[in-house]
Amino acid sequence: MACSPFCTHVRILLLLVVCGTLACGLNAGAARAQDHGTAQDTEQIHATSADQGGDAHAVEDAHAVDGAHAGDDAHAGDDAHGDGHGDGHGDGHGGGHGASLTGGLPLWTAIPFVGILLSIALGPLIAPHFWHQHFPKISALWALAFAVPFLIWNPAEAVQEILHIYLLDYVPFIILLWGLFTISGGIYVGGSLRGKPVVNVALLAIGTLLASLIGTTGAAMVLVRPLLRANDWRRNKVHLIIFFIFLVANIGGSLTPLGDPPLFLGFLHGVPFFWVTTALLPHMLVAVVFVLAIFFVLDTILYRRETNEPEADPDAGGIKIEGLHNILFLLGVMGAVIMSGSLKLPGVTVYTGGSHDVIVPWQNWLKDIIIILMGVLSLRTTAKVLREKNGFSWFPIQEVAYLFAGIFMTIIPALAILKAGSAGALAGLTEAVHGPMRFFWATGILSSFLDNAPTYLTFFNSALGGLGQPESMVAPMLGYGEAAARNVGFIADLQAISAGAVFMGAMTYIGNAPNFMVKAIAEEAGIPMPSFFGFLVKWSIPVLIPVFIIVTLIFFL
Amino acid sequence: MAPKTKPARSSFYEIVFRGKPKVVRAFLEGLIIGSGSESTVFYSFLDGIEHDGKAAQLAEMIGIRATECHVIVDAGTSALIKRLAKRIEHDTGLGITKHRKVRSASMDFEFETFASRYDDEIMALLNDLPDSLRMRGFTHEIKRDPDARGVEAYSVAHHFESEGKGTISGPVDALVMFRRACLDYPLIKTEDIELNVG
Repeated sequence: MACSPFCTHVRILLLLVVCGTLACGLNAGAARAQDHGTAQDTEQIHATSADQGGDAHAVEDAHAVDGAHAGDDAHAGDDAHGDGHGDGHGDGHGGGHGASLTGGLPLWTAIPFVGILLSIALGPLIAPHFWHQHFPKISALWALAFAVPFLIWNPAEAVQEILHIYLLDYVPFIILLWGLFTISGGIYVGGSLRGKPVVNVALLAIGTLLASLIGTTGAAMVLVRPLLRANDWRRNKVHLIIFFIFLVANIGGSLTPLGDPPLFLGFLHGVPFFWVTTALLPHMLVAVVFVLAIFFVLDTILYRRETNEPEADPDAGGIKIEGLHNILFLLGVMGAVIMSGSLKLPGVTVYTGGSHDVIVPWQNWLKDIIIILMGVLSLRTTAKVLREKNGFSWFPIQEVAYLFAGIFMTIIPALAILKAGSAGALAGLTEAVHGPMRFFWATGILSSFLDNAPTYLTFFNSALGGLGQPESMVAPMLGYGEAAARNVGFIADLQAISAGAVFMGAMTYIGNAPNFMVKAIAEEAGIPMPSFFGFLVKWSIPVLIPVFIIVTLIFFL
Repeated sequence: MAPKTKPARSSFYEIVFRGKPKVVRAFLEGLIIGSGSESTVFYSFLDGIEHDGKAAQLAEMIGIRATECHVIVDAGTSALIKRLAKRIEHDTGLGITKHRKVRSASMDFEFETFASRYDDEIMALLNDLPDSLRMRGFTHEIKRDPDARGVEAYSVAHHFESEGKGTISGPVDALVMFRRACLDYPLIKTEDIELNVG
């Protein structure tokens, strides 16, 4: 599976080129084959242009949502398709999955989506070496299981939907993760710390905060080895890694879209950048304070049982951070992401053959270019030895690229069905899961066992589907923009979905990507990590479930 | 490494006191100090010596509901306690319910490592067993997967995996000391020591 950095970059670039070429070719073909002069299409194109400038439609929709319930307004959302994120996020397509697919897709079309999520969850547990060698093929098989019938059934719509999700979700998602991973991999925390309870609490607290800035994977990669080094002398170390997974690899990532993939998907789907910062801060603080307090008590007890604490080293220089200039590149990435959510530039139409145009706004291109530039600058300006000391390799990003290519393909029908709300095949789910408490636990429990990014997107769309609203209404409903139509119910639901997806990714090793990574690094450092069920039964249920019940009682009842 | 010499074997006895483990321990420590003799005492709740099922052992370990305490003592201490048994019960209320010779002891163990360094350390420990201890049923398997080298997030597989298990048997004192040594190797999981009494 080893692939050189060059090889990885080439693969990612090839993917982008293939998407672009496919888009242009199909666009030209479709232009020849179809008549675009219908009044309907003209209206849609007008809507797109208007929305990108801050449209009137959004205001109308805003009033429609006031009552907060779907019912009669259910079709207002559909009417707004192709409205290009009138919320200022501007992906040029908005809730574009809807009109042609919603309501029409049977539930079995989501089988590949369920299949790929279960493969990701069970593969590493049941057959780790087989999965390690063949996961790209398995991902591709699930993707093709949906894509081929879809392309045969309705080629124009299929191409539109696939291009939309790849160009507006997958590619930005991968580029952001690549950028954060590359840059954070250049920051090395060295020096000699003594693993005492106060030091460990400080390390976990720093990691928790860092996770929202450089992502949970980046923070875990940067800090897990310093934590291991500081506590190398201790016999009882398992709890350190468990709480590191709880806090740094999961809960800490809840304050920005950079922190955890689900939140970035939310951002790509219209949630303003800083919304989670303010909306989830109280939830995150409560969870972190309780988990850190439990950790401190446990670590203190176990520390007192240690019998072989080494003598203090008078030459120990404390903590030493190298590659700090990478912080500038991280700020660049953050700035690019914030910029893309604020600017409203025209877009590049890449496909017009379906019921809606696929338009990628210039701010998206600009953001991705800046992120790539930041990553390249980090690679160029950071000594290779720092990445080596972090155990840096491109493989985790390759994994994400391969697996999420499959996830994003197969999620198309699931999202369409959920967006249809009460008119879709999952009307029962939409009706059963409503209100913040249910959203928190439903999103959380599924995020515990399936990857939390697609789980978030699923419930995000379920919440929207329940309200009969398009994505263009997300920001106004959250109280942002000129056309703000603050919807208290939706805000509470989205807080619950976000918190559930991010927090409960910590419940199992398979809940979030860094969990398994941290477990493997710890095992190779000689720590006897618990089994899958050992982690669940001995650690996450006793520690986290009471904390999440407290969070529910305070915020979601 | 100093050359191994075969120590003179001494007999060990299992004594079961009726009384709270903490009280028994305090009494025995006092008795030993008072007698001025070199004594060896192992407490089952401290050294993982199996008896009467897991629930009773757990109760003994955490001191809840425990009304018995199992100890292993050397022959000299055994004789002293036997001689003073009636007086001990009269003066302290600590009755002796069982007093029997330990013929041998055994312990199952297993380990799993994901780095050759730790496998080497464990194998060094096992290869350096005290002369009085014997290993049986030992299996050791190493798997290497060069493709799995490095860090993974979604397809975690280790490039080095080793597993081993076996049973070590011999005199109880040597086995208890070896089990204590194993505690310095967190990757070794040791079962409780089983006594062969009679």
